[in-house]
Amino acid sequence: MAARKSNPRPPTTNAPPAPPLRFGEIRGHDEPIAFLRRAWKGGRLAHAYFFTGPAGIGKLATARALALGTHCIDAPFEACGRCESCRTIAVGTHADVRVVLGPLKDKRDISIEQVRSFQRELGFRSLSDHPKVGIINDAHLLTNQAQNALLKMLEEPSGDSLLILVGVNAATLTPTILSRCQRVRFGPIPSDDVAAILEAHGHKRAEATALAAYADGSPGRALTLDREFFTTGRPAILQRLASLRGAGFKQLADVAQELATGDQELGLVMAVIASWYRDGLRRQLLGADEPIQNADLADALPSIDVDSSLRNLETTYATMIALRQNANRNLALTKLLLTLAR
Amino acid sequence: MDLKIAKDDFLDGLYLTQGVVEKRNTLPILANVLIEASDNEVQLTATDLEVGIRKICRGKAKTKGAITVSARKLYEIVRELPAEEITLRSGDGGRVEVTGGKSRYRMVSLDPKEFPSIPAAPPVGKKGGVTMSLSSGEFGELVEKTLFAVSSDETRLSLGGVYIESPEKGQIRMVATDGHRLSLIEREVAGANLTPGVILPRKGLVEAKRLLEHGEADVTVSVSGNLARVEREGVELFMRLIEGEFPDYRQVIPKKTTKIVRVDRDAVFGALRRVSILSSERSRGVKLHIHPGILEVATANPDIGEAVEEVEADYDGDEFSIGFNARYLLDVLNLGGVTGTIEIGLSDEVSPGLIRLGGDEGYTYVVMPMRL
Repeated sequence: MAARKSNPRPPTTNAPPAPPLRFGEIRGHDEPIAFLRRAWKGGRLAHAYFFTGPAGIGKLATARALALGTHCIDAPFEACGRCESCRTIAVGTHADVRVVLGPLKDKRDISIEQVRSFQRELGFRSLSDHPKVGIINDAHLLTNQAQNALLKMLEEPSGDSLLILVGVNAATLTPTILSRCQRVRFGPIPSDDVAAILEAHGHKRAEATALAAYADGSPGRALTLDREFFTTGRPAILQRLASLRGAGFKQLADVAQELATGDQELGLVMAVIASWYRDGLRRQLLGADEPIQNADLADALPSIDVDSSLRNLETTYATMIALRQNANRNLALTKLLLTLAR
Repeated sequence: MDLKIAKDDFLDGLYLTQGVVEKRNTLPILANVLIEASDNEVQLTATDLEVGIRKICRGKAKTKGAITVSARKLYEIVRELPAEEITLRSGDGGRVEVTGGKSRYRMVSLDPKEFPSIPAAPPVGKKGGVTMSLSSGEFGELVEKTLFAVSSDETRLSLGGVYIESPEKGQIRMVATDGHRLSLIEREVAGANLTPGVILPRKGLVEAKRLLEHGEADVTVSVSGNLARVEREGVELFMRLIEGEFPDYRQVIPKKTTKIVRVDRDAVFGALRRVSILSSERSRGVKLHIHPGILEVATANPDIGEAVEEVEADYDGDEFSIGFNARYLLDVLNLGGVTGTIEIGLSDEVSPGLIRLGGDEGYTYVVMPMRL
């Protein structure tokens, strides 16, 4: 039987996953937001921006906030979140705001067809008397052909429009694209802000703080971290470490084997081990009031001297680097445990 | 909302929404029709953010309100219901109850607040808007004679629609081209004063054509700022205007042609159809050999074979050959109401051909030749 005729034009704008934030609700990006506010106030918004920085820190949120802000009827720039513009932008039915959230389902990159649809949808005159806003999230995943298609739009912006590319880095974007976008850099945000965002997403405070400590300043990453691992797996690993003091080689080699072949992502396990000795060192050097990553397990921190803590931490870092360079997992972990068990 | 509505009128409105609603289903609410009930008026709206349609239906609302439900499903339901009158009532859990006769349906309604807002028609005369009145037949002809030549090339957005402008007060000119051929029609239309011109999107005109069918009626066409509207008997179709510049089409139209061939439409149409059977699938190339008194249509395809047919022609110049894509010629000859003598103006084998239909001075078709 012949396959059902598929629609030649792929969708671009899917219903957004969550309602957009307003500028006032975005944490940790005061600088880029202030920069955009100044440009908006002076009527100097560029026609194309490239928002760049680590994954999950709030670049897309800022881009969507800018879409709200440039269109909001009641509270220009800051956005009210309630007016007709804000409401329809939130659900993706605003005629002058189009968002490509990323590759289509089961695809690895953003195709030229997606970009063409996006351009077509932005190819009408603005209905709202405000600049049309087009956002391409995960722009680093644009194929070369897709980038070339986009180039024309960047070279001859038709009418009043604002294009925002959002991506983790510029490495896969052609110089021709980059030279036509104003770059706005976003950095990791403080752990406190990550924790606050996690709490807003329904995590308990202690859990939020613990997760935030491992998120590298990225709330997006924190939200994808395995909660189960942090509530049960992490204490188990740390308990295991404590029990290894003075253990024999056979036992150490067995634990190393277990960690090396276990289900848990090794990078996370190593991050937990490093945090443990870092916490110990912090308490020893800076006193009991110093905030630490594993605050919930503070009572079990190892009681070893500063030199040992430093040595353990250094070896852990060295092992992390070795593992990243494809060292034999078993051997590297055994060597690490031999040091830690001393 | 609690509403009683007459079936026939409601069904007409729902039928019109079918071509408009979004089919890719990326935003579910765009597949829905918005039904807004006030005291004794019910308004249906559907849009895909490019084209929209609005119809006022007769109805009596016990309680006012708004709902949005799947346009396709509601159309299918109402079409099948045997009752003369349909009741729509919003129930709990975001459902809408549709009843007619002994049938009862409960449909999911999405929040009307999420439905895209379409600016109401601006008051006439404000913001440089233009409004003109003509008959559905007149506007239908303008649309039909240009829409077919619109480009489907997604990289040239400004060619993806029909350019409409007033060369002079009281005139409307519509132009479409895909780079290979160009179709231009000019008609007298009272009140027309559209300068500069705007580009109407293809999908909007396809829907307009649908709206203009089924008998004669008065139609109002208005253009203002960023929207064009076509209104007929309580139905309002609106379309967004394509941004960008339409290319300077005047350059393409030959000022004069040195050789003029007059042929009968039916004869040449038939010959082209028959001969093009053996033309290559891709280029559809046919060769026109012109002798005094005769137009010979020929094609040669090494893989399949050759075909040739002679058509009587009014021509007394030099012998001459030129190649064309048969589809481009057939398209124009196939337009509604084209009969009698067709005039083909040519200069040499690399210059565009200029076609006029049966002495209609207001219509111009330009087609680029191809090397065969």
